[in-house]
Amino acid sequence: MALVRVISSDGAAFLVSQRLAKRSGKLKTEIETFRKSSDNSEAQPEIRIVTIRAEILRLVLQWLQQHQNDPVLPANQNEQDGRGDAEMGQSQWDRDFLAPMDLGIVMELILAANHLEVKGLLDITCKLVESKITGRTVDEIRTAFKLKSDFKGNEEEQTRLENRWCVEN
Amino acid sequence: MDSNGINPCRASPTRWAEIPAELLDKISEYLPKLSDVLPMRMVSKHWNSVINSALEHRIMQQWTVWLPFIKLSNISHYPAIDLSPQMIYTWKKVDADYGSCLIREKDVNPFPNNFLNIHCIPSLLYSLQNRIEEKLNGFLAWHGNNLVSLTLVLTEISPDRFQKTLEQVPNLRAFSIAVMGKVRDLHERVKNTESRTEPLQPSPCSKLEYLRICQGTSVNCELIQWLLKLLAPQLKSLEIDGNELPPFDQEHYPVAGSFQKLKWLKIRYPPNLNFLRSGSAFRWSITNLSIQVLGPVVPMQGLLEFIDNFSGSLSNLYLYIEKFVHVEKPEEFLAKKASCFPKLLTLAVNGVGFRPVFQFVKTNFTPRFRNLKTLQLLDFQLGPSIHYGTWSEMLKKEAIQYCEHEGFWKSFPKLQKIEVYPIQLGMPGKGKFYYLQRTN
Repeated sequence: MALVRVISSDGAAFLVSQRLAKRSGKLKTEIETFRKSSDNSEAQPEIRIVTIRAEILRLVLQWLQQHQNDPVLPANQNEQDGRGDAEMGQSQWDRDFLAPMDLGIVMELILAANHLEVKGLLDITCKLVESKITGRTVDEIRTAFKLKSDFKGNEEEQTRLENRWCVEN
Repeated sequence: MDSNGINPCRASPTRWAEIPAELLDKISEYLPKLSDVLPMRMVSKHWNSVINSALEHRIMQQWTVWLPFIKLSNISHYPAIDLSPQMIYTWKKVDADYGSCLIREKDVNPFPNNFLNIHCIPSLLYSLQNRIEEKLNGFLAWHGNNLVSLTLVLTEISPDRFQKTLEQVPNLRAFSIAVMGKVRDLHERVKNTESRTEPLQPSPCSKLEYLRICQGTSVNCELIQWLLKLLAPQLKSLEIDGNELPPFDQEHYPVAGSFQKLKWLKIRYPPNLNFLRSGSAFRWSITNLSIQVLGPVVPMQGLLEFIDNFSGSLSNLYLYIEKFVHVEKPEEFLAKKASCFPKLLTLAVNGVGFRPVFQFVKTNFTPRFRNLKTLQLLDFQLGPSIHYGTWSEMLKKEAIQYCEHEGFWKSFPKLQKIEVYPIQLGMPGKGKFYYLQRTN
C-alpha cells in the first residue's frame, strides 16, 4: 500500500495511505506534483501543512478514514445519479464526532477542511455553525462565539435600522 | 513559504472575531433565509463587512450565474422602497423610516449593500405620479451613485424621469425594469417627446452590463427600443420578457458595435416571424441562448434561422416551446443552412416522449451538434396522462430506457451526460434531476 507522510504545523507526522489522502483535493494535488517531479516512483511523498496543527490534522484524517468509502459528493446537491441516491445527510457518526467540540475547534476544522479541500467535512462543520446562528438573537450569537461588539456611537443602531429596512419591504 | 506561498509563521486565526472573510461568507451560504443572515451584520464590524459583501454577492449571482429560464417573479433585491400610494399618503411613516435610516446625509451611502428595489404600483392620480417622481428624483440624486444594481417596478414613468434615472445611477451594473400600467399614455408621451426617443450617446451608465426588461401584462415597444438602442453596444446579458421585441436590424439599432459584447440572451414570449428572421446584420458572440415560449405558436423555421445566427459561438442552448409550426420543407432548409455549431456543449429541450417539439428539434439539429457533451431533457414525461408527483424508481427506469431507445449516445458521439428533469420536479438550476453517464 502506497503511503504518504503528512506533517502538521507543529511537527507531528501522520503516515496515511495515498488512497485515503487523495480524498483531500489539496493532498491529491501535492501527491501528484511529487510524483511528476520525483525520479523514484517508489519514493514516499512528504507533505507539510503549515497552517494546521496536529490536533486538528488528526481530526481531519479521522473524518476521512470514516468516510473513505463514501461516494464523492457532486457539485450540485440536487443531482442524483442513475445508480441511486447519494448519501447527502449527516450521519450519526458525524454528529458524535462533532458533539464534544467547542466552537473554537470547529472553526479550526472549517479552516482545515477548506484548506485541504475536503468538501464533506466543510459541509458538516458549516452546518453546525449555521445551527448556532439560525433563530438566535445578536446577543446569543455573540455569547456562543465569544465575540464582543466593537461598534462605536450609533453604528449598531444604524445597522439595526438597515436590517429592518431589508426585511420590512 | 510552503508550496502555496503561505507564510508558515502566520498562525491560523483561533478566534471567531478573526475568521477569514471567505469562510464567514461560506457559512452564510448555509443560511438561506435573509432574516437569519441579517443579525450576523450586527455582531461586529468584521462580520458586518463580510456579510455585506456576501449579501451583495448573493444578489449579484441572480445576474452573473446562468439560469436559462426567466424567473416569473421579479429579481429579488433588498432593501426596497415602496413608493405606492398608500406609502405616499402615510408620508410620516416614509419619513420616519427613510429619514432615520436612509436619507442621513448627502454623501453617506445609506445602503447595507449596493442594491435597491424600488416599486411603485399603482398610481391613478397624475398629481400623485408627480409626487412619486419627485421623491424618486430626490432620493436618487443623493444616493443613486452608490447603486450597483437596481430594480424598478413602476406603473408608468415619463421619458424625462427615465432619462434622469439613468443619469443618476452612473455605477449601475445590473438593471431590471418593469413598467406595467398606462401603456397608451406612456406610448404617446415617449412618441411625442422627440428629444427623448433618441438615446443619449455616450450612455449615462457606461458600466451597465446586465439588463432585464419585464413588461408584465402590457407592452411598451418604444421604451424597449429606446433603452436597447442606448445600451446595445455595452450589454453582456439581456433578458426580455415580453412580446414586442424590435427586430435585430440596423434600422432599429443603428449604433456601431451594437450587441458586440452580448454573451447571454434570454427571450420569453417572443417573437413574430419578422423578429425571428432578423439578426443576420450583426456580428454575434452569444454563448448562452434561452428561448421560452409558453402559449403562442412559434414558426419553427424562423426559430431555426434565428438560432443559426449564433452558430459560431453558441455553447448553451435552451429551448422551451409549447407549440410550433413545422418547417414546410426541412430538407431544403437543412441543405441551405448547413452551419454547424462547433462550440455547442449543452442543449436543453422540452417536450420529451409524446410531444413533437423534441422530435422536431432532434431531426433538425442533431446532425449539426457533433460536439454536444450534455443533453438536458426537460419536462420528462412519456405520456400525456403520466404525472410524476414523486421521485421514484419507476421514473428512473423509464428515463434510462427512453435514453437508450432514442439512441442519444450514438447521435451525439461526444455526449458524456444526459440530465433528465421530470415534469413538475425540476428545471436546470433548481429542483431534482437524474443524470446518466456514458458507459462505453
